Amino acid sequence: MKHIGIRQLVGIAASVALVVIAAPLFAGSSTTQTITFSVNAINEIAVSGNPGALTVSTATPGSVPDTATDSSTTYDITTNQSGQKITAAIDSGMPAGVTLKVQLTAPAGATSAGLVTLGASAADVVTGISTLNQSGLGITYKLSATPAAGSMASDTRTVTLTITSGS
Amino acid sequence: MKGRYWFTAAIALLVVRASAVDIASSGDWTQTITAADLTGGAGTDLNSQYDSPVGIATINISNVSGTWHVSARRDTGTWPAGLHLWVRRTSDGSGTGSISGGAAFVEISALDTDVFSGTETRDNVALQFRVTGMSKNVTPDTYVSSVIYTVTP
Repeated sequence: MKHIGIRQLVGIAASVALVVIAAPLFAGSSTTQTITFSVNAINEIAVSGNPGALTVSTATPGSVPDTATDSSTTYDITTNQSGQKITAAIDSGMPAGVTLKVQLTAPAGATSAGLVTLGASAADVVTGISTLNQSGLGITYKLSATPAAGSMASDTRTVTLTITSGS
Repeated sequence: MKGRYWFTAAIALLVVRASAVDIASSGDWTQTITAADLTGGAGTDLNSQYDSPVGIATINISNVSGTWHVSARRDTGTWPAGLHLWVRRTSDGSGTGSISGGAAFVEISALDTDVFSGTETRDNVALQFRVTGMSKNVTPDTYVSSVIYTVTP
């Protein structure tokens, strides 16, 4: 019969203990995957169409000619940024004595500048726009002329509305 | 020497236990949100849900005899609070054993969540990711998060 010495018994016990303790520490394995989401700055504005023709054709005797008004169009806006504004400009200046103005209804939390005279340089029409989406906001155009402007053939102007940073 | 024999046997036993069940993966997901993702153009909000292509990532289970379980968790990274990340298994993969669970989307949180389980080896188990909660209120930026899969016997 083979005799197992004390040293061998201690060795066996230590081996078993080492396996029992250490085995759970090495159970399982892991791996990693990366998810990357990039959100771009989004500033979108669209209008419902063109206003009707603006014609200055009547006046009260003794007064300046009546202003022509159109409020038939609207605009839609979406932005995911804060502190944005809308500016407006026309592609070329108006004839002498003729003035074109625009007023935009402000979306929630923003401020309309009221009636703004349009020119070749962009002018603020709505300020303080932050993180919103809203549709059907009103646009009003007003065309006025002094008597000195005289009469003239119809003409067109392109109005550009732009969302830009800065309140 | 007999003492050395027992010590060597113990080390060998430890090595065998240390090699049990391996998991490997391939494929990451990158998604860019633009104005094209508005539901209806200006005046509307962003689509709230985005799905990765099916099988954009795969999982391999190897060096195993018997059953295993795969769980997943997400590190916080730069992930915004309102976005939720999900994963599901879109194929059984191939191998000598079987696979079950995980065919429906499971939300991945900061805590380990069981995704699917099986037996024996399994190769090329296809995965698909989903993100929900996107809106105009998510600040423009790049958000990165790691998904950590753990396999246990």
